[in-house]
Amino acid sequence: MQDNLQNLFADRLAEQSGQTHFASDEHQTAKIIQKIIAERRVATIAKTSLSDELNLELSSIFPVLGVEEIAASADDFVLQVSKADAGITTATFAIAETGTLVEIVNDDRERLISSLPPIHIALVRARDIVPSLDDAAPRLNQVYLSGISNSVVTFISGPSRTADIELRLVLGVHGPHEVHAIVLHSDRSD
Amino acid sequence: MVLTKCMPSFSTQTEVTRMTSHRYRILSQKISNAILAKGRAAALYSAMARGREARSKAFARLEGAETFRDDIRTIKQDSIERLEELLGTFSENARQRGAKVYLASNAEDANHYIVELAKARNVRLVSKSKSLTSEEIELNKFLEAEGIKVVETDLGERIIQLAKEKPFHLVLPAIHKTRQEVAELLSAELQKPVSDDMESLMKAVRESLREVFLHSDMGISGANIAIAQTGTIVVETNEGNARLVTSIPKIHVVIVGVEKIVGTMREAAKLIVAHPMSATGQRLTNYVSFISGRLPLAGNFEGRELHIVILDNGRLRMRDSASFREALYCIRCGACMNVCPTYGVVGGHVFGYIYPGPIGIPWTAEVHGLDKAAEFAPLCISCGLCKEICPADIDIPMMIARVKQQDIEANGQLLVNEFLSEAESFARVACAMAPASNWLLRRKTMRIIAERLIGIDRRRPLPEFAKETFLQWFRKRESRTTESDSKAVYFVDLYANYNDPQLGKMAVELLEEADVQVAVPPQKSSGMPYVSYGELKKAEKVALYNIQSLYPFATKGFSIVSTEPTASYMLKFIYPKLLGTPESNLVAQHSIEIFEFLSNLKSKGRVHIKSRTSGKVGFHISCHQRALSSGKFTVSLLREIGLDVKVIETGTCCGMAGTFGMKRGPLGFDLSEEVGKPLFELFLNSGVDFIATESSVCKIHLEQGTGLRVEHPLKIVKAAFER
Ligand code: SF4
Ligand code: SF4
Repeated sequence: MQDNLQNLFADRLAEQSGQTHFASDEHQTAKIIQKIIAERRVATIAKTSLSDELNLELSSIFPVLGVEEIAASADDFVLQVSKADAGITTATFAIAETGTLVEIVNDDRERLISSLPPIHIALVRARDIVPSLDDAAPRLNQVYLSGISNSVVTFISGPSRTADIELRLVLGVHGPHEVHAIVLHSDRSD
Repeated sequence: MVLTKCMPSFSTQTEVTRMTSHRYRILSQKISNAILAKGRAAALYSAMARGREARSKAFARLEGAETFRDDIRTIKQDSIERLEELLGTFSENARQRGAKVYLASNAEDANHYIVELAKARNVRLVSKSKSLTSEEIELNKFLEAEGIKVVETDLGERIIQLAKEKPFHLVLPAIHKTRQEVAELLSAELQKPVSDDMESLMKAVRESLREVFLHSDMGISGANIAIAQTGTIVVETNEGNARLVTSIPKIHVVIVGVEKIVGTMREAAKLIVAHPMSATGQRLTNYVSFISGRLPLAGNFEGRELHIVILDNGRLRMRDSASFREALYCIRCGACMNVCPTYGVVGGHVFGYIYPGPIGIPWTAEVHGLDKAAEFAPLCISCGLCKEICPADIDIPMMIARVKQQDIEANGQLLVNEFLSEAESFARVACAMAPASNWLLRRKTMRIIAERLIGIDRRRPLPEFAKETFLQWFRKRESRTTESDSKAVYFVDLYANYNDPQLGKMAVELLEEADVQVAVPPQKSSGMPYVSYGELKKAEKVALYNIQSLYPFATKGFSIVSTEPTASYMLKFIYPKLLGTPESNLVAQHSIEIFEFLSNLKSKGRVHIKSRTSGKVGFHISCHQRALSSGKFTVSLLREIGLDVKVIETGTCCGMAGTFGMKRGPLGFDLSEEVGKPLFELFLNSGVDFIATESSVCKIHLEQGTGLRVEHPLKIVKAAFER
């Protein structure tokens, strides 16, 4: 069941030109990130708060690759993210049926990390993949019923796209032209 | 002589004002220009075809597709019903989140609020994501008048902005622009050469707009939905530009039509599926943002404001109007323009004011005024397809008929429309005078006169008139009132009565052979032209006459069949709309396509196929038949008698649209030819021996356009059937 959901999620995200990777643990996740950023010669990266474990893994990888990380508190944070080559974020959950990463944030900084750099890498735990949009509703309700704190929920189903000129599909017109979802704690790791 | 004789029967109660003839001339000119701009039409045509295909694929795979349109309609209907309450709840919840909520009663009010806000905060640069509502009020103009620079960030909108044009299509505003044109526009704007390959274009767009995102001090977005329960604004974009517009600038202004408010997240979840499904066939739009209040940026809250301007601008009045209320159910998916035959030829600059396409007509009339809508309302040829494709099942054609009615009441009717909507009076005289009338109507000189005087295009062949009408024949023949458990009223309509009584006779004979008790009560032709030309009062009169005549039969369990799909369409859908009486509803319930009726007879074993035939036939579904069965009963019966039937369709109308294609010039014959061409080509390349269609007017058009023989399917199956 879990396995099917992961496959369905990957297929549906692929329909919208996004890629899915599977990792059994943080170490493997870091390896996948390493591969993506090495292949694309990523020099600067922005990330939202990740697990301590993963941070640790990444902090040993970035210096080796010569990747510079943008400080979350920088004064000119926006400008810096705008120049970053990749952004890493965590999706609160994902929807298999539509190939959607669901990002829930309380600070626009995190939105920028997934929307400004040309490459977006999003982590989602395998058990946080729900089958359908209907199953998303209760999870969203939790967000809203847990008080009135402001939030932005974004459904991300692939890279930025347009067909506004002659119906030609182009990816990455404003935001990312690549979206990589890494399914964490997956039993079907790459 | 024939003509003069029937002329006096046309009331000229309203003098055609100069306005009407002036508008007619301008619109005709615009149509001619649009027809000449071949490249544009081709681009638009493929965009529409692709949109239709994507939508039908998405529809086919959708779970719960059967109830989907009902669900969407119900959501919108309920929300509009509860509008005041939802507006209150939404405003309160959004305010709780710290947003400023402003209800703007009209365009001026909304513009004033936003411009004053921008001035007070010293805004120099505004980034905007796609918002038709802001175009409705022409917000950019007012901001720019204060020296504030406004930049559209949706690619299509940006192109339109640089070209200083209006959207050509709701979803693809710049679909009429080629790569080369875009390159020129960008080069001029950036003052450096941009080459016309996609990569260079995208690089130029991305770089220049990135600067705008980073440095704008106000972001203005529209909203696809507002959720009352949580005070949330939902914004959908594929490009992701709205994410930047709503996050980087300190001030975020949302401009949203008051009709966009729904109650709950659950309802919003349905709508975010409906939008992309009907627009592009995607399962979801790439980015769907649910914005609930303003957020800090990197921990900093300073100066970050959210203003939500809720726009009325005629919407609350629309809500109170029985005729126009459903326009508020529109979710702006653009599907109706993907199916509209005449929009497909002329595009949104001719077929639109700010809001393009079918829904643009009622919307413009209500929001921008009748005069603006009347400039393009005559482009609607009443095919009804927009209603069939609309995810909210909005009766756009009926609203358009109302707009036309208001227009003729204010400005008068064109003579040709008046003549054609009174076609029955003419037909009566022509039949009485046949064959002399036929001889006359074949004369070139006569046709020239008819063209000059009335506006009937001389290039269009007209059907011949019969000496004895079907109704005359039926009245004369011996009555056969054998009681039967299967009863049908034959509703003959114009063509089978005056032009091809043989068809009516065959229908009656076929039914009687199957032991059906057939009745033909007094009747007038269905009156579709009245609807097409906005003569709704006359349409109501005809409806009333026919319903009074048919109702007693309906109560006695008669089915009502017709050989003309448009007649069944009128009985089933239009009369109940026009009259709204229990009588018209009962008649509608009893109206059934003749081929469905025959299929039932066949499955009950009351008719049999005695002989089979062979041949390749191309079936044409008339537009009004799409609202019925899309011809499925006809096609399967044709197949059962041995024919190799191919349904040949472009997915839109053939262009004849009743009497529209008979009218002289661009707003008639020329446009109808242009709409028909792709379909003619399909038929000609299909290798069929002949064409079958139930519509008498499509028959005229297809015969002329393809040179192929066109038959009514009833005539084909008649010979193959026996008791
Ligand atoms: S009824 Fe047909 S012609 Fe009229 S607006 Fe709708 S689709 Fe277009
Ligand atoms: S009228 Fe219907 S089909 Fe047309 S844009 Fe609105 S919702 Fe879509």
